[in-house]
Amino acid sequence: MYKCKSCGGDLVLNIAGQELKCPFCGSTYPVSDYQDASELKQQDTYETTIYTCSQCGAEISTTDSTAVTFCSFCGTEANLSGRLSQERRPRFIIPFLQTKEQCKAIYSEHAKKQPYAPKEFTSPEFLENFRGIYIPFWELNVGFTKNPEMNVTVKYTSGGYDYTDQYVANPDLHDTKIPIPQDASSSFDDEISSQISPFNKEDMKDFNPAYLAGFFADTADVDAEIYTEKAISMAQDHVISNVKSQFKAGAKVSLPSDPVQKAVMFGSRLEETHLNLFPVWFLTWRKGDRLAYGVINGETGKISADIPVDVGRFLRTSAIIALILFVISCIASILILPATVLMISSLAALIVHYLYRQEIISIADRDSHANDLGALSGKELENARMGMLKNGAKKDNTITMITGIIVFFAAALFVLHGAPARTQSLIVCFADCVTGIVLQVTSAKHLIKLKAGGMKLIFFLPLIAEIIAFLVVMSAPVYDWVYYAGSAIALAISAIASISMIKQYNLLTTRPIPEFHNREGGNKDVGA
Amino acid sequence: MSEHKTMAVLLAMPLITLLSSAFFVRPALAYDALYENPDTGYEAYIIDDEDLLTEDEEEALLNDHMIPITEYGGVSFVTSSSDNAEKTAADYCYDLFDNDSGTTLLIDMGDRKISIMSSGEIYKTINKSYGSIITDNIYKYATNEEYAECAEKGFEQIRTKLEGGRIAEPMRYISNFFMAVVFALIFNFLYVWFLKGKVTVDSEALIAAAAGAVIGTAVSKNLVSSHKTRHTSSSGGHSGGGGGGGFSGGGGSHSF
Repeated sequence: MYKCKSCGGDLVLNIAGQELKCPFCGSTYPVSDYQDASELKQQDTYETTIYTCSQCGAEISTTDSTAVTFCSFCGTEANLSGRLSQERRPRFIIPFLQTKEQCKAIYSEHAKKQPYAPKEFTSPEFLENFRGIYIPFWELNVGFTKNPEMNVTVKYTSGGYDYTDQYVANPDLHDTKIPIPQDASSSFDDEISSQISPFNKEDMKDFNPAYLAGFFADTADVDAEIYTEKAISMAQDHVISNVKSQFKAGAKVSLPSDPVQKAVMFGSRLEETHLNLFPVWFLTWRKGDRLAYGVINGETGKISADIPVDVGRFLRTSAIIALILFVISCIASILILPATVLMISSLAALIVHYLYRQEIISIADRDSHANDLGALSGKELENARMGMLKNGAKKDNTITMITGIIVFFAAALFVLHGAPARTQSLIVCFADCVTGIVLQVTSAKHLIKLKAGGMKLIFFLPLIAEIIAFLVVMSAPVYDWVYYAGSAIALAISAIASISMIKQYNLLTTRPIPEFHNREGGNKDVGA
Repeated sequence: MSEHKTMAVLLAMPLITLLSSAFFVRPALAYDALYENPDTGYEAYIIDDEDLLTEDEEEALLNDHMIPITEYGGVSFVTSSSDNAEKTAADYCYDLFDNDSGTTLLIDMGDRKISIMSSGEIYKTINKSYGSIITDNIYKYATNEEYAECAEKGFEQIRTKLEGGRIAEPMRYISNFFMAVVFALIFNFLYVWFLKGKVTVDSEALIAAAAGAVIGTAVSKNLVSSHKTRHTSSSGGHSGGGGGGGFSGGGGSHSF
């Protein structure tokens, strides 16, 4: 679309020089030489060619005339059907600052650090598939109509005295406008967007479609409105954080817990929204019906990559670790009594049970786009929006919980120190069983959302192991072999669940093939 | 506390300990040794109160299996009918060997348990773990009422270990194997799980980048009230105490 003035070839953006360059004759031109016709005509749209993937429905636009032969979102290799379209004109654009070579190096280095990444993830042929795409982002500017009065409590100790000071803090919010960027494409997962952010204002340029030369752009199909509550909540939190920073560390600000009351107190409102285009390098790996994305911020080089685990390599390494542990346990003449072995087996089953539960929750959330507002609709979207306002983003508490389990059982053993091994084992196995049942019950709502049926069945295995361990120790057998047989069965069941867990882990590091056939939103009114 | 008082307490404490021990220490049981090693002075005892062994079996046990152990320390075989095999074995071991090098193998018909307790130099080899391993290996003979064989196998394994040999520990290897497999899978999975942790940008950094600078707002502060109280720091109390004398060895036991 942007032709070389010397030879007529299609120009592309030369990232190093931030200019348009002809790949045929090498001529270069400043981007400003190619005026944006839509700007001249005072239009709020610009002309582009939209390509639609017949498989997943994803849309991608380009100003070039070259055919699009694969879809970056679902990995389908086919000629995508194109049509001319008028797209909403962004206000700003950050041109690509990271070259494809830099981006390949960043990805390759990242993949090498993952111990069980499939080998093909670092192959030059695979990395060559990186594609530069501009992703649309909304900038929601939140303003305030009030200067809220906040009660602040500050506690500190000085000169041998404890002080409790009460303040009324009054931030001046007139003329304060807080910009909150949120991705405007349903094809682009909010989680990825958060991982590769931020994009910096200082690199933003006034939009000129010439910056798109040689690259693609995703279309804006998510309404800015769905991010309203999240943006208001983030802006309010920013003000509160600013107020706290004016006081000593540990200052507490008293605020209404009800999000609506809080918004009224601040007089928070969405004042202005506009669209920007930000650059990302996008790589897709497809195996069967699962995808893995590698996404790199085209401005800063920040990376978000789905790296699946090569199960064979994982199991081989586990076997080596097991051998080392076995040899150490044999050399160090530590004897663990049969009842204690059973207790340890039950504890191992409980840890596997908890990890499996966390995996199920994460997979269910990932596949149902629970944390991706742009991909939700209807009642799910409404619930997620209110959830964002009340609770903010979800946190992974796995470390805390595993530590909690270990500390709890260490404390139990400390209390039971000196008691016969069977008594210790009986109490701990009983506690394991109860905890296992609680884990099972509290996972029910996540299991319903889960698409992989096999996981639902295997999730019961650790509970069976916990019950077997408890029943054996409760029956107080005389013969050691009963304890050892019980332990062996419980451990074998835990091993099966662990192997399944690592196989299913790849559901977490990959994504289902997206479905965008019903896309509409930010762009739906354009050209009407 | 004055220097005199401190001295008085220091002198009184051992005296009180000595006097109280006279009340609480059990009188030593008197048993005749069946054998005394002329080189080491260590003795061998068989105290078969439950009559589980015949005289021939006792003689064979003493000559073939117990006397060789006196190279390393005292040795005793005891049968009893108590409700605490470990305590009874420890008591016998202490009474017979007084924390010197020695080992006691006890079959308790009341508690239905076998227990091995050792002290002194022998305890360095036949510790709690190996005591348990050996009782693990021999309890089945007691279950089948083969008490002589049970004792023979027990002392045989004690001797093997004292002579620097290895004893069979099949159950230990089986359980260690299964535990190694499961914990290897768990450790490896946890490693992969935590490695996937992706860093998401915090909202403050997101806003600062979008705005081009940190957005600060002027905040007016009015102090409404201020309370001051004397700072109190809490510290834990101190307590201490002493322990008494007694058996300082250990061992293992097993039901049958």
